[in-house]
Amino acid sequence: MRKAILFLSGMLLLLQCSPYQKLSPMKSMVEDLRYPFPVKFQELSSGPRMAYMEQGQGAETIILIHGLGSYSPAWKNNIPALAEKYRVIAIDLPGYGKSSKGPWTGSLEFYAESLMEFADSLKLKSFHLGGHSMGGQISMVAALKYPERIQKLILVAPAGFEPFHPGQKDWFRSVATPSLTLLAKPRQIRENFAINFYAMPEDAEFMVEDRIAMRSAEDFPGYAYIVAQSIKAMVDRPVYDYLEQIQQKTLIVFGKDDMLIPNRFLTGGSTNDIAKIGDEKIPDSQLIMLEKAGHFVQFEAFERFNQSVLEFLAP
Amino acid sequence: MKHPLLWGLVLSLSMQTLLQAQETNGIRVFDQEVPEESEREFQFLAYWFSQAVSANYYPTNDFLRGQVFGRLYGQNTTRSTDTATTYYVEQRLLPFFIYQPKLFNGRAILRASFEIDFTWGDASYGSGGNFGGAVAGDQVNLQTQNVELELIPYKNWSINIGLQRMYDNPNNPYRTLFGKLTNTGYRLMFWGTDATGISVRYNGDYERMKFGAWQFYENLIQTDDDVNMFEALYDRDISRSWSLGASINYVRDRASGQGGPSILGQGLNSTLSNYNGSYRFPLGQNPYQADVFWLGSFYTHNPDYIEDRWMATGFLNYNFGTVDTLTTGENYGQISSIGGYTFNSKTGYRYGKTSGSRVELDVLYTSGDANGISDNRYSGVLTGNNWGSPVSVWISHGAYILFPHGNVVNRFVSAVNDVSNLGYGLMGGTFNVYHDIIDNKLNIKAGTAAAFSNVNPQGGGNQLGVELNGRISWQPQVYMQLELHAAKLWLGDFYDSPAVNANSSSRPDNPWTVFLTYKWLMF
Repeated sequence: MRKAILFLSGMLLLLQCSPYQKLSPMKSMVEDLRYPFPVKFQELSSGPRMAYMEQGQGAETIILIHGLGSYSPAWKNNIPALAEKYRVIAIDLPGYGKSSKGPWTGSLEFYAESLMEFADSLKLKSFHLGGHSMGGQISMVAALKYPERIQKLILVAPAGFEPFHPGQKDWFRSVATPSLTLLAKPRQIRENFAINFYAMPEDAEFMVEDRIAMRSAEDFPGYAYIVAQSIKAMVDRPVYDYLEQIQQKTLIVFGKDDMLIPNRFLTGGSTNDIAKIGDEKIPDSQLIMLEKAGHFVQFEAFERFNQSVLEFLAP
Repeated sequence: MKHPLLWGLVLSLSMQTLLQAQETNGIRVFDQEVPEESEREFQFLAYWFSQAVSANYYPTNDFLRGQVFGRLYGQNTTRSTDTATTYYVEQRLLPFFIYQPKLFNGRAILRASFEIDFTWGDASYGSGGNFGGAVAGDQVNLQTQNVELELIPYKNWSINIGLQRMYDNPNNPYRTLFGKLTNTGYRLMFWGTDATGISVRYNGDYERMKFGAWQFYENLIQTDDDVNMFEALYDRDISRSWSLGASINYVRDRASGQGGPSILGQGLNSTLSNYNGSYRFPLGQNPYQADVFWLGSFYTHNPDYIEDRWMATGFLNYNFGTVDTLTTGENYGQISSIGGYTFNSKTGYRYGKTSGSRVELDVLYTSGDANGISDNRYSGVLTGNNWGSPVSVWISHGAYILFPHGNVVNRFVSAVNDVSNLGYGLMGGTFNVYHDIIDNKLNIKAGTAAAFSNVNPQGGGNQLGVELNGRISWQPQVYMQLELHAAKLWLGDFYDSPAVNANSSSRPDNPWTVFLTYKWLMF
């Protein structure tokens, strides 16, 4: 009887535990998200207000674009190192992070145009462009559409190298609903982030915590909307057939343990094979595969990544 | 409110006027609004399963051709032999229809699913008398698997009514992949089937609850001769990646063995136990009343191998209660108590990039003794297999013949088909190594399983057997798999006992099986 009481007491004590107890719900993503560097804003003529972080004083500028569902702090391990030699600007795409939410189409062309208008507003005639995952696909669209504006291209585990047939694209369109984002519970959210890493580092937990806390924000439905739009946009604007036309010198970086590329449900196979497709198709490219790094390769293997980028950009 | 339609029209016009007024006043209230989408109204999913099987074990009773479940060497007449080999192909289709009326905005969902099973060339699991498959195969073989309504009255709450999955698991079985359901909670080891009833679930950020009331059997509707089950289950995330749960189940059995599958009956004294390997209470034909409880706790860490490389899941469950038999003089007074427990622990490590490259160790202990209820106490484990079959489907251990395997149409047979092991209890486990040759595409697996009975049956020892098995699987398309499996079980000295090997004077031949399966989850 005594053992049973002890057991039940222990159980009750354990059941009092809970993760994320210190997390405060957000009222507004724009107001309450905490960024590692000062944030500036730029109004665009098409409606959205874009948030960005800017560091460094170099003569050349690098603009960094985050991936699907992410935001500019995803570059926090890269900005300081790159800012030692370059002016580094990490943007929040319209609908993401501290940028305004709204009924944007989310098409990759829309994002490429927004990027150019943003660059115009900063009087940037040309710049290096780096993009992670979906940001990589947007970067390729921008490079193809505005070849004279983009100096060098840095593709970080980019989407777009993996072809999908029309049926798969339709499937993506049908499952990409805002509910996927709106209804995700903390455990699912954490898994969604964890699968981006070879071994999720402790300093990446802020992304999970932000994502959990932002569910109560007034602009969260707008975020959920744009995530769904972005998935549709990626399948609606494949770049696979246009890779040969990319004129810029291009650095492609993948983590060898990327569990998102290729798509683990639809296709399976080796990340290396997909990376090689892009490397072979893009005329002036170099491919780097980093060991013990997942899809968030620039965050997880930031020292090796930063070094590779600096070497690539060096004159 | 005599004319609600008229009032609705007036209200609608008023709103339109108000909105127009805002626009004409230049208020840009809608600039930042994002369009809303409703969920899909109708969905059709289907699971196709077909397999070509060769084995040296099969039922020897003509009546059970095509549909047999339970314990090898049990009363279901399955026997292994070195004189005959089976070759057959069987298939199953599970169509799922999901209807979510737009007018209820996702708050009401109707689900219906069916089982269409048969062996090629036979009418097994059907009726109509047409045999012969292709040329004369018309048959009535549509079984209702689920017909249930899910209502969502408030955020995070759901109420399911009807014939539905009643799994012993904290996750909603209609919103969770089956693989996770077999590796969390009680892993379907006690309750892993469909039943009529009502369940209420809460799925919050860090906690999950389930309450269920189930009707297993309703004999005479005006009489208290039913079997009911009531359950409450609570599960909570106690850290970022660990969760801990607790549950209680109660079965109130007043049917005295009436009802159940076919002529086998159900309940503690039924022939069903002789089929599926659970303990058959020697109550004779006497009416009985049973009250059985299950009190348990379970834990889970990273069941999908995503959050880190280690996975852990397991539970401790204690079943207790009483069986009261009607004796002469119309008085219930011959009471036997019940008190047994089950411990399970599964641990895995992902050594490669994907969860397809992992090792897993699964350990099981169930209590039991040799004397049944002769001491007025049953010390073994009770599962749902005492009231139906198969109800308790522990299938995520990786074994094939020693413990039951999940690749099944209608032949669900293994040496230890119910973890109670005839009430003797057991200690056993499995060890499996999986490897992705091509990530998420081509996988191989090799495994072993072993088990020991807590009790030596008369004339036998305690070794149940040792199994070796292997599998290679290829995924040509999404959720489509082609798999080749093989397994052989070396029977232990437990089967030297005529009491457990169908009264044979010698140990049966070691059973083996090879099968090729094709699976496709269509959605």
